[in-house]
Amino acid sequence: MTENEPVLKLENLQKYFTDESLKDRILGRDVSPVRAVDEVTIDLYENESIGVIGESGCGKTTLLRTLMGLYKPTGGEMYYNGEPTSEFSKAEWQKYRRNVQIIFQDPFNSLDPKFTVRDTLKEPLQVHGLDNHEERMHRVLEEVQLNPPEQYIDRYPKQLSGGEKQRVSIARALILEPEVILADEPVSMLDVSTQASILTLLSNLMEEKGLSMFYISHDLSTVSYICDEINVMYLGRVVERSPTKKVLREPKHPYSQALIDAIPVPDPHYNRERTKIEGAALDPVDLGEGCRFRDRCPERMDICDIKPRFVDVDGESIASCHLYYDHESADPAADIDERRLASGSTTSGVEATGKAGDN
Amino acid sequence: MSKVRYYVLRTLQTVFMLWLAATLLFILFRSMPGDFTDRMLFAGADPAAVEAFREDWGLNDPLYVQYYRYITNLAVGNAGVSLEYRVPVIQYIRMRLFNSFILIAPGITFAYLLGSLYGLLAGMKRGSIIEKYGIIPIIFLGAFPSFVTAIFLIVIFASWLGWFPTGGLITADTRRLFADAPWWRRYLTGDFLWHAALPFTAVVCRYLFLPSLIMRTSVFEVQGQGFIFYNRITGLPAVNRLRHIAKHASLPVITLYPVSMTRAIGGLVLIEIVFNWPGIGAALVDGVLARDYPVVQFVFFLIAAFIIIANYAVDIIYGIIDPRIAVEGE
Amino acid sequence: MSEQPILELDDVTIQYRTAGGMLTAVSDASFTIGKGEYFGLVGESGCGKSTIAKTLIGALDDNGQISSGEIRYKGEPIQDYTEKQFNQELRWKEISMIPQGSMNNLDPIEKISNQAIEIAQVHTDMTRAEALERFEELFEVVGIQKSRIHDYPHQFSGGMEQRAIIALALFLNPSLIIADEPTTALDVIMQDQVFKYLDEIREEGGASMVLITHDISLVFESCDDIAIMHSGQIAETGDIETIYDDSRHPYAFMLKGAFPDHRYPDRELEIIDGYPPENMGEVNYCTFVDRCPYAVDECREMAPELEQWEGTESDHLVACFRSEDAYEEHQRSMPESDSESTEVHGDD
Repeated sequence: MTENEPVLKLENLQKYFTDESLKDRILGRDVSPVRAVDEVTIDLYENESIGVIGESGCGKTTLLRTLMGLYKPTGGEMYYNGEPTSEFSKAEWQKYRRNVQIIFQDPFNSLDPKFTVRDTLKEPLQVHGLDNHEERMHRVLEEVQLNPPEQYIDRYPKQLSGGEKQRVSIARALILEPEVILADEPVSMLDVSTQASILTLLSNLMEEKGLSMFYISHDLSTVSYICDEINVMYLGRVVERSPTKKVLREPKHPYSQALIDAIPVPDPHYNRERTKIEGAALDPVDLGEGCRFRDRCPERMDICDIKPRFVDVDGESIASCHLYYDHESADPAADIDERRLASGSTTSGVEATGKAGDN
Repeated sequence: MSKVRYYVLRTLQTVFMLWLAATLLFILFRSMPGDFTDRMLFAGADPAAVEAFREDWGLNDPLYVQYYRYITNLAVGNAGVSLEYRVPVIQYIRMRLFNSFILIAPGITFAYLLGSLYGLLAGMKRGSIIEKYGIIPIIFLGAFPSFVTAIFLIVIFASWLGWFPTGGLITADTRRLFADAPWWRRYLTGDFLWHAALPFTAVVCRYLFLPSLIMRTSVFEVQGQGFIFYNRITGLPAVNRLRHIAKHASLPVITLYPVSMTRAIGGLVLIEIVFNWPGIGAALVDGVLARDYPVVQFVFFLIAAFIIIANYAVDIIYGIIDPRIAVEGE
Repeated sequence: MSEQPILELDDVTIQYRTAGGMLTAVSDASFTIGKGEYFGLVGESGCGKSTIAKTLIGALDDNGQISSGEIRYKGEPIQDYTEKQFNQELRWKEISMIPQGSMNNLDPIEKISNQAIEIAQVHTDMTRAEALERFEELFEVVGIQKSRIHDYPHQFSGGMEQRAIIALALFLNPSLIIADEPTTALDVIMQDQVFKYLDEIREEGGASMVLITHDISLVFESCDDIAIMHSGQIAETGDIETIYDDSRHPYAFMLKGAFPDHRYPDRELEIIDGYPPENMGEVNYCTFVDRCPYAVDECREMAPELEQWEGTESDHLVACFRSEDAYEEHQRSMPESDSESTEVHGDD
């Protein structure tokens, strides 16, 4: 792996679900796919942690499952250390699954109630044919601060508190010494008093072990404790990518703004205004090519029926929104990805506006 | 998908299934060794006469010709002629089918009503004696082979107590009395009810356990749902809450009802035989013993058709009583 | 408060009969809710807050009981009310509830309008038409098209169903609404939409509310008063500004510190070690003692009583033997984080 190659690289990754039944096929009907993940491009470098934030239904879970290799992408490519995963052999997938581990959201259901901590930790070691079981298990339990390990190793999940269970889940992910951790809202089911300790543990472990992490969450207020960079997702697309603190301070995309403005603030002296956004997100079916947020967006313009480009707003934040580029004289240097241009005919904003107005 | 579209597709599917059943039965019966003519030969008939018979009845024609004849005739409601009785099969089966139906439909319906009520009661009083032990005798009854129950009923109520007749549909006197009346007149007599009492009871005993068990379990499950708590805190009286529970819990029972009904039509052969009840089950046994293929084949087809149509009816009914179903098709 | 309070709890203890003996879910809890007041009840899972919610509407689980204490609704003791009395005198006309879990409170095979009509007919003389008209009005209040009252619950999204539940809670103009984690299942934007409507009800001043939640920020934003519970005991109660500025119970200020505030992404979050105990039988100790860095022997020997904190003028009750010293020790141990981190999200 060269210095500057991402550990995981998603390039226009796409996962569509077509819920086509036999009847539809017989009747020859075209069923519009659910665009759960739609052209997502993200690079994850070594020892970096990237957050993917969004509401339920935004595609973050589908993205995670695609990253785990549970779903085959319907378009785009996923590279692991520069190798395209679509060309992986069975052995390469085995290696991938060893090096990319997941921590689940719900520690209450992700541990087998009939397995002791020892059984839980031993299973991955056996699957991947590693030795020195005891030594590895003790070391990893110490790392997740279940000290002394002897006291915990023979316990069943019901003998552990929520926080301890989540530590076991983390230990299970770490025991194979992975390169990448996929974390699926690892603290959302925990009480607030234990949330902080798990977040701290995760961020310390990342640093010590040089891990990379994909952190998926709906909760923007905890994500700042883990992630350097955040991707805000809405209905299958990434709408903004910014450094975490930047997005909290100055969200660029109207959806990011709405999301952050809706977070309750634990301060009675602070007068936050309630959200102005109406309605709920739809299913990502038949939404056309335009901006996915346009129907709920307070800044809605005619041009929003055209797919917005990714624009580097200020050198830090990248947003996919028509507010941030001049459509008269589109500056090609500001384009992050030329392929995101709406197909062919609508390269110029004037043309595009005219076209949208005709509809 | 619109509701109409769903119903149309479901109907087409049903027609297809009926055709498939008819075809499979044809293949099955033609691939079995031996037919009615073998029995004629065995009985000492002249081989030349038998050959003439085969020619006459089209048994020597190629299979596809036979199949074409069979399926087109079936489509217009002609199931051929009984080899044994030399009358059209439909005519022969019609009355017997009605006899089976008039025994089974009230029997199963009553079993389902009683069983649902019992299951509701048992399910509501979880942990009570009725819930824990009340179901055992019902399962016991259901687990008994139906003919054993039937024989017990005859021994106790017919032979021993003498309250009911041992079998038959009506007495010879009644038959004579209504010989010239329309065919249905004889069923509207006390004599018929008197004859039907024991077989009816046997059917109820056989089928009571199914709705009881399903309803009981279903009531348990429904009680765990959020809206039960919500109905309580909104202050709905017990009667209203019970109505909500019963409506939900009966959904799986309603699905099973037509299934039981159709199964019973083919499955209660032994009850019919024990009670000497001239129904479709008895006709099937006679037909098999006589190698009377047109009759047997048609009875099998009827049973299959009942099941297919019953499932069709369940889907349609379910779509009406449970609004969630239609959405899944959307 | 000179007016008659809507709800008063006086040393209420609620227990569940379990195989291992009497499990004490709520121990000597006391608080008062005035007319039109929004009261937040905050604590971690298992602290007894949902038990209180169920008790107030008479729907404790079968193995639960109010072992001691008094609950007064508009001055009338209701702790011994039977199911029938709850149905006839309190439920829905006086006290309504927004229960936990947005997706399954409504009967899935019954039109929402029919469920509303049923409630109206059980409790009032309203005709079908009047009930529908009232329900349509409320749908507009909570921001759903009124034509949709005839939908089935599954035709609604989670947020819409929760708003329909709020409409139902307002249906008979109750004096007290119990909201048990009303937005936990919802995304933030949807949560904010729901609270927008709850704010409006509050401004109209009709109903009082008990908001039961694990999320202290919701209470700080939407309530007048707050009680913080830990494992069956009320640790501290008072108005939200007082509790925010000057909380004295170690659990209260530590819980506050554990809550992330997106305006200060660099602030270190407080960690409360351990987990709440299961309390069997009589609780004659502070339930926070094993997790409390400031505990002394006394805390294990007696349950602290809620006492007026002298520093404040308003009702500010703290149940802690160590409230004075603990607070100071805590202040000293904290790095001056607030001044270090810059506020990143100005008032707008």
